[in-house]
Amino acid sequence: MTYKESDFPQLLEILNGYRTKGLPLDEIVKQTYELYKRVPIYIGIVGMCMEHFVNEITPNEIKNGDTIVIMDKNVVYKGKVQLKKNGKIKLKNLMVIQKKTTQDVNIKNKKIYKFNYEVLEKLWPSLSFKHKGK
Amino acid sequence: MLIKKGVYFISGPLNIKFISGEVESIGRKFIPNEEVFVPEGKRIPLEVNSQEAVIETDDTGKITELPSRTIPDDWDRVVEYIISKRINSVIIFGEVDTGKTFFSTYLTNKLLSFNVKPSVLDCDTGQSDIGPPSTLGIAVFDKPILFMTEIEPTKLYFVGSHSPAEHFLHYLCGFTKLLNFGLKNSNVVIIDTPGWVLGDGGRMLRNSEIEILSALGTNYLVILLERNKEIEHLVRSIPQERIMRLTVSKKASPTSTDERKKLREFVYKKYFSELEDVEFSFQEIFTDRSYFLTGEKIENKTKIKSIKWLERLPGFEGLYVVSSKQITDGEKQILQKVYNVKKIRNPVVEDFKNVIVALLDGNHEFICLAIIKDIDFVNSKIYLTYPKRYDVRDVKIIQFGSLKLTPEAKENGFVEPGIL
Repeated sequence: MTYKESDFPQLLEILNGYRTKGLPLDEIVKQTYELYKRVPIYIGIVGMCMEHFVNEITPNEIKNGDTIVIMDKNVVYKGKVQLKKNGKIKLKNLMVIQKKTTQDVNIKNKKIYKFNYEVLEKLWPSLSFKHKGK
Repeated sequence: MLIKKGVYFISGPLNIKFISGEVESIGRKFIPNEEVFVPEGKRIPLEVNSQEAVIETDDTGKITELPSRTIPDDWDRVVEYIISKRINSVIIFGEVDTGKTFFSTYLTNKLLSFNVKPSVLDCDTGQSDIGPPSTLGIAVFDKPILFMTEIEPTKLYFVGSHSPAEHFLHYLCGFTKLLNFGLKNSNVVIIDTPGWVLGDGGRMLRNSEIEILSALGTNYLVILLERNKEIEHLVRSIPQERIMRLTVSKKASPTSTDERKKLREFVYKKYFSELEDVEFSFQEIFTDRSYFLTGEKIENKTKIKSIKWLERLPGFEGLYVVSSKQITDGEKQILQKVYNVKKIRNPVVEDFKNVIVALLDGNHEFICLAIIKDIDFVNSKIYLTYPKRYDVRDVKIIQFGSLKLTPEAKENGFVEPGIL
């Protein structure tokens, strides 16, 4: 059977598409989740909406109140435009994601999480096959 | 070897010859000088009903005496109820490892002893006894059996995967098709269901099966094999006279997921023994449950060298592009522009390899399973390997599944639904 019985996998493809563009996913996942809660039996429509959720715009199109993402070489800014003046903007609720090769981090008294990439092998080894990437 | 009246447990592999005495197993009575073989991994109870019996065996160490019957007493009243109420379909619900197949075997043998012709519809696509994994199978019985695996399936239906998950519609189509067949060709259809009884999927499937039984106008009975009322939620709205609650046999024991995989592979290996290769040109077959070969073939007007095959699909489905490697975002934009489409479906050649398919005749009847070895997109040919005991001259349709299997019958992963 090679047909999907649900449009849910398409949502994963859309989220992955945004991820590969380097966009921060928190707002996108939140919006996907909220749309799903609003129209839970129309997953295809949620997907269609999410495909149009993020649009590339020019600096001239930025308006106060917009939530935007600015992608610089190694830094990504996400925030709400509080003020636009003289070709510059002020963002509030700002999130900055910075790519660095290395960084010293103090881990004392910090909450730390670890990713477990072997989770399928550990939880359901009979479904783990040698992965052949495309 | 002389054995006294009582109950014994036999573990395979073991050959036994019954010389004298009244001996039965799972409702099947043995006749003097009858020989049976218990395969590896299988265990059966043996009930000696006469004061003593004489058997011959090659390993007495594999026979152990039990303090009591493994078959609960309440099982014995089921047959009388079925006959007296003229029940024509019996659906068995129970969690995994509650002995549903064991009970089906027992019921089959008991019905036969009353001259009632039963059929068994095996819906456990993961642990299939009638037919290979990923199929639903039905067998009509005219003589008692010890193991469901002994009998050749009368009819099979390819679900496409070991699990009905993501294959609900085809599972239910197959269920209906084979149930109908059983109703026409036997007196009672015994339906052995998978142990998926909890959560959305489990509830939805079991509920749909009952709805189908009801929609077809069958006089059905639901058997609940329960340890502690754990599947009562499945029958809350069903009339009580249609439900019979039975005790789980003491024989039922858990099987790990790894053991289940090994058992599946064992059955696959048996099914895919003595293979032969066959090739079909794209022109002589139809595909089913895939996008492949369902659109209009078009020429590659781009300079993208990795493209091996192009089809225009109807409406918004867009373009179907088979390539040697995944096309890039840039190549996707070129294709969208050249062919004026938005959506592009892009399987790679490797996706097709080792996929299990069903070979069907022109009436959509199952002939056998096969494994895709390769596809030659230049010469429009598909190469398959299949068990050579089947006649594939009438094959008209290749029905795609979502599992991959090596020619050595080892499970080899999945193909994502909707890709091919």
